[in-house]
Amino acid sequence: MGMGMRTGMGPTMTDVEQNDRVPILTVEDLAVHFPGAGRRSAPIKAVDGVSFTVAAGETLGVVGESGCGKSTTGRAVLRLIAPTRGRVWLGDTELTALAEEPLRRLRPRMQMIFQDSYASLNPRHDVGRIIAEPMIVHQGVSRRDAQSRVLKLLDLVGLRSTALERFPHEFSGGQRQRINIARALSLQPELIVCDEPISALDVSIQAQIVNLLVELQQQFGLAYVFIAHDLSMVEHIAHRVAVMYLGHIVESGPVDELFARPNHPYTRALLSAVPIPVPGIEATRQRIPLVGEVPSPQSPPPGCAFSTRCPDVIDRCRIEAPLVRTIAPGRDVACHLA
Amino acid sequence: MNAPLLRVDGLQVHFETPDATVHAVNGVSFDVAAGETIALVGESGSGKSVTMLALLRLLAEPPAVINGVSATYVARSGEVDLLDRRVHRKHAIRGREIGYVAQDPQTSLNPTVTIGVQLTEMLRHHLSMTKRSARRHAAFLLDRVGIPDADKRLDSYPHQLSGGMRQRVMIAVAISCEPRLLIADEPTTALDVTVQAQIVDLVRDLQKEFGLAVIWITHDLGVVAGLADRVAVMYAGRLVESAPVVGLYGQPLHPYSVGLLGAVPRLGARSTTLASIPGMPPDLETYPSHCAFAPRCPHAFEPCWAQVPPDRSPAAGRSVACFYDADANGNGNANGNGSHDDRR
Amino acid sequence: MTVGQLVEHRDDEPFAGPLRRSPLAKLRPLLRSPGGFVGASIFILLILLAVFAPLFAPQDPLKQSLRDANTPPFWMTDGSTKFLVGTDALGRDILSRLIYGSRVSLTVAVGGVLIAATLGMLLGLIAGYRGGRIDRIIVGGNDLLLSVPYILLVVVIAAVVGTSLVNVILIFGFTDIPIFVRVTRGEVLKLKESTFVEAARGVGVPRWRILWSHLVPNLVGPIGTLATFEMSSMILYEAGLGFLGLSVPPSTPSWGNMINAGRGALEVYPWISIAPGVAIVIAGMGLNLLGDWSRDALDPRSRRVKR
Repeated sequence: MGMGMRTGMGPTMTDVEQNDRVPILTVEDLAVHFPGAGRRSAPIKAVDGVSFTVAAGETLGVVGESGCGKSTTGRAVLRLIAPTRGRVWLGDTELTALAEEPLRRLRPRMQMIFQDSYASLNPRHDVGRIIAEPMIVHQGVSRRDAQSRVLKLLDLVGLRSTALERFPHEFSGGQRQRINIARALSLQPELIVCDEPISALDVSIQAQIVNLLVELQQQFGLAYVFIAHDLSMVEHIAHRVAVMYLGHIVESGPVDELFARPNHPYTRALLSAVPIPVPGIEATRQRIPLVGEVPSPQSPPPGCAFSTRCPDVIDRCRIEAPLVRTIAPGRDVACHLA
Repeated sequence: MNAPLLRVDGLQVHFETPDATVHAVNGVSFDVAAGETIALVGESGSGKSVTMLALLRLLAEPPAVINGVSATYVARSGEVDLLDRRVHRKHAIRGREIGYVAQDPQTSLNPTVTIGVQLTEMLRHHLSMTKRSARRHAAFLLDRVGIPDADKRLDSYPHQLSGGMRQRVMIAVAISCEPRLLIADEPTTALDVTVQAQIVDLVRDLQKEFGLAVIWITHDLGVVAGLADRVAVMYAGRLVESAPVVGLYGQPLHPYSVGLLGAVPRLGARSTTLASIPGMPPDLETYPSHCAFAPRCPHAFEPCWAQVPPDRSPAAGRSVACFYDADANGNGNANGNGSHDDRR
Repeated sequence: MTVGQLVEHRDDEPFAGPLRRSPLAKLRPLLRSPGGFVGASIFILLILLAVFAPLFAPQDPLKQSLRDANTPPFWMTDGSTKFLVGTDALGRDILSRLIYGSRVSLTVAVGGVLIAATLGMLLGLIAGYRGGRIDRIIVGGNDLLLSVPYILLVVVIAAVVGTSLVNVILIFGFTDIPIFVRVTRGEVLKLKESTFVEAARGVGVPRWRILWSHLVPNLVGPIGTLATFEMSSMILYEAGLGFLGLSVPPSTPSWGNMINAGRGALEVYPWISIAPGVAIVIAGMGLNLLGDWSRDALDPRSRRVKR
């Protein structure tokens, strides 16, 4: 499982399935509903029944626009937010059935990297302490004992050892994200949920961080759930991708397959909107226009969530919500027309 | 084509703070022809926003200090120099001559005032319209920028609209007095990609209809490809390359442009690694005495460290501030996606 | 080949300046801000005067000398350099009494704030972090405490057990708890939602450690600033009490009872009341300046870094 995974054809889930291993992450009918403001308002259904798996060492990209629930999904999977319903397994341990303390002890296996690289670091802790904290908490080592491992981690993420005693505000966005990555790696996790880790960074720094993440994945066999809105970047880093809209996964599959032959109208509209940095192509592209606005997650449309804006909508879509169906090995779509 | 609509020559902006002086813009010169779309590309710290804010005199001075040879703009009443402070008030530059769309639609609209008022305010101030005709015109503008139910929307407050709608309102405000130049500072960066596409298409249509020239500031090379006639790349306060859009993407000359284009993934053309530019942009507190990109440049050699590279013009309509000559070294670069840097 | 050897994503950025962690470095911004410098100097002066009063005071503050009664300060006619700020009706040296009086003011301010801050922070931390019922109970109790006027409490207790410095400190301490609870709770509520706390949970940091290691250090700034302002207030309140005769017994010099003592003779011998008044103003202002400066200085994010 090395460079071979990144050929033009793109790997499929079957490569991993054949190894007959339990996926590192299994999510079943996950939903997160937030109470509405005021006593009688309808709940906000940020995530409303998503299911997916992630194999060890692979990257699942989760894409969608603002309000689709992808960030909430990421947090709920790690139980940083309490799911309203659904079950999540890390390997063969059911996370959603664990009590607070056993869950806490399990956390080293599943980490998260946040979008805001500054806000995710305690401004009063220096880098050495930040990176050593997981080791201090879970292995009972002192900061001094952990130091050599911290230095190795700094080297791994490409930061110099002089970073050890400095504070977050002394670094740039890209460097801070490296610190976050080092912290996430400190106890050798199997899964890392990356919640828009590069959106706030400059273009050239984005490339640095993405390259780093890919290298680390290849070296340590990490699985990623890579949440992003930049489809071009997701295509670059992910093996498989899930497209979300208003709290549902509307389509999922191997990334090359899905982007080349999208099945769901929303996916098609999304792809047509992604700017392509080639003047000849971009200036003359035909977009699939979407009318209207994204409905509120407090009052989702009856039937298919996308029915209010779908260019291919038929009557059935407005009445009956489509279930997720597998139309090909590894390819799922939730659409009546697929 | 006669004189360009806007000609900026040697613009310099620095900020004097108690700790240090920040040299944000160090000698930027460019032209914008009537009806043309220029994309100003750069990452944070490149000075792209400050350049525009300086031309519009929207910077607080002090701490900003604006200098330059000239910034000639062909206004309705004749040629004026935007670097002259008095010009702005006298010729109603902001709003009437030049429209401005800011990045964040959340904070650019006054939350306590309806959007109708914000629009009519512009119209009545600059075009001396009566209240009624201003309102009618405002409704027309909202409709033109694609806001449904325009007449009712006039009485909405900004928070009742989505981000995309707010940005459309900003555009309506910007074009309301029929300016000849529209400056848009990262107008779609905070928007979803589908909304971004709509806004880009909208601006393109408006440009054709009103004959607007547009300066579009962005770091998104995909948007640039679809919108711009010419591209100007900024780095550390200087314009390092300017070229027609096809030329820049096809054959970027400045190593920074090459790196930037190589770092952007292209949908449908996946590569093994993205060519990243090692290192970080320089701090702007020291006035550059050599090429600001040299520390990160794979082609840096002696002259790069000795002085700031002057602009040279290797082809018609192109200029690059670099000593390295790709052609001379036989290392022409095509659209640099996936290429490794030459250092290896 | 280790990951670190790949050139492409290596971070080569030189860090901002040399590591300046020496304690002297922390003093630099203080020296640069005139307000902060003045405020800190006054505060330090106050402490020195209070602690080393016997060394600074030219006379015995309690020594009475009817012969020297009502001597004006040395710059006025009939003044003498023996009593630099003059004497009161009993011939006691005002300067020496001012210096000894700082002990009362400082002890009340520091003692009172210590009690209020410790208890207030504790309660605010629990209320903010746990939320729910405990939060409602603490907030309710807080509001109740807030409605107690300290003067009433002082009068009642004075009537029962008499006046004393300890009583004043305790009363001030307790009646000032509410604002510390409120500020702490507000900060904790805010910090609880911050991403780095979420990140700490994600890492698996146990709750108590999040409280101790992540929340409390970030409370030091706002609470510290609040403490300086409350100290300034307490000096004023104590003066008020002393003026009413409800603070320390009149023989012990306190700025408040000094003002009271000179009240009757304001037209003839104004310095007896004005001198302690000036002392109060300087002390209060000094602490306020210090508080203003500390608000910016203790916020780690606002530190400008030379890059």
